[in-house]
Amino acid sequence: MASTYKPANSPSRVLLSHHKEAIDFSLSHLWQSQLSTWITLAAIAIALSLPASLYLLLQNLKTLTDDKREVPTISLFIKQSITEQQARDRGELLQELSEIDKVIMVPKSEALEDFRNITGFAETLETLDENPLPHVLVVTPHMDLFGEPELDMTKLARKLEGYPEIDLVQMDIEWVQRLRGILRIAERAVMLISLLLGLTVLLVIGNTIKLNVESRKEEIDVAKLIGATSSYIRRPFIYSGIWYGLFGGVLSLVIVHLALYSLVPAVEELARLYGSSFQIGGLGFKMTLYILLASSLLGIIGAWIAVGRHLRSTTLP
Amino acid sequence: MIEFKAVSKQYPTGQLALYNVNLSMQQGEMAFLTGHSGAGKSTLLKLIALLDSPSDGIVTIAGQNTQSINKRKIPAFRRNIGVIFQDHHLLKDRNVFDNIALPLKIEGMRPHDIKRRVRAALDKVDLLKKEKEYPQMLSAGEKQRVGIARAVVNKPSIILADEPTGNLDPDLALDIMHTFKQFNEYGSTVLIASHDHALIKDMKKRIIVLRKVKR
Repeated sequence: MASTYKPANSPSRVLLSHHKEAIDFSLSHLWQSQLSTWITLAAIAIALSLPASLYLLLQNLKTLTDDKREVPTISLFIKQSITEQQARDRGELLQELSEIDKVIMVPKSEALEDFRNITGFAETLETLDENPLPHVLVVTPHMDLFGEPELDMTKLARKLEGYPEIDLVQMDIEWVQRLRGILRIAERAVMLISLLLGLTVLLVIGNTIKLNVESRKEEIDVAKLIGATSSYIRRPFIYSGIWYGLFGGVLSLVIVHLALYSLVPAVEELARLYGSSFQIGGLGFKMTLYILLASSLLGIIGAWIAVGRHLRSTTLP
Repeated sequence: MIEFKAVSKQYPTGQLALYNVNLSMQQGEMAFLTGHSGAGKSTLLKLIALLDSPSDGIVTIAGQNTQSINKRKIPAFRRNIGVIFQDHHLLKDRNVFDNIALPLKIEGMRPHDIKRRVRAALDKVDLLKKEKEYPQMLSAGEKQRVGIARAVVNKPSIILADEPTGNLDPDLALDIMHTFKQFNEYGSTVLIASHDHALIKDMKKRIIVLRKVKR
């Protein structure tokens, strides 16, 4: 049909103005019903902060297991009959082995000094006539030489045990290995929980948008009647979904970080007691971005489903 | 401009709303559609506005068979048809200006042009002073005129009205009819469903009578 009216705007400008209108409208709509907006945002934020904080917990436990300071080392306790110089020579020989990255010699005098400083047993130590501690060689293996780190570590340990100067070989990695095993399972669990809670967010947003759609049913019908396209009608709701997801995501990050910072002093105290320089880590830029992206995406999908259902079912006056 | 060929419409409930309707309207024509209630006046208007499709026969608007219009193109098609209902269907949460501006916003017109066009439409229905008011503050006649302004603001080539004066007293009704006549004089094809025989006789325009379907 030949219209007497021709839009003066180019299609891209029209689209731009439609988007601007939809953004303005959806934001003002959120603002108008503040109470319900906050309730919805809180529900989304709580649902999101649970997997985020679990992820954070895992991440921190992981840094504990692959931290360079905590790289599996092997402590070689030298027999009491061996002199410091002999132990030092053995250390230098070990250094030549291809499996070994570095060997640190801790002479018994130094070990005693450390022991005194760390544990507060100073007074007890004073009562001893002689130093009961052995010389120790701390061996750091070349991790990149290993295919199966756990297997090869054991092999290396056996080899080291064969040297005559060595009394005892102790690997510091067993607890790390066990923790890693547990973390692998926990990671799966967090993934599953994230999936379920992501679905919750989807449902919360979908339901909220569905209620929005229903309360504006009349408006939608009128808009359809005067020639609004489905995407025009859908757009403000999609933006509402984005805002719910995005702001819910931001709120969840706030919750997670508040919880995190309330834990920092306690964790630092604990780490100090263990003589570790472990520091609790935050979510980081990338993860923050992922969470916000994912929550916005959930908003879009939820809104799309909610409006789509309505667009199909509408009967015009 | 508008042509019906052997058009029938039966609703899924089994109710036969139209049976074998033949009708033709020229571009720029103005006509009244009348008949008993239940004769299918509203159904006929809905078929023109693409709010419904015929179960039988062919409806041709501006040379195009409505059945063959791509679903995605229906909204654009509808923008060329202004529809006015007895129940005005104004949005309660927007003022008069924003209600009338809606079709222009959908077309993506610039704010400056929207302002100009809305004012022009308001001027034509004599409501310039009420642009900031909300629908519930208006009288029945004013609401109807806002509905008309919204239907004509984007200068559609066809204007359809379903009982536009149903709720109004005779003076107001005549006033509204003259407004429609004016739009017809600007070039729009106008079809008004009404059962107010006295009123439409006075208008001295073509009258199309729908007879109730006999079974």
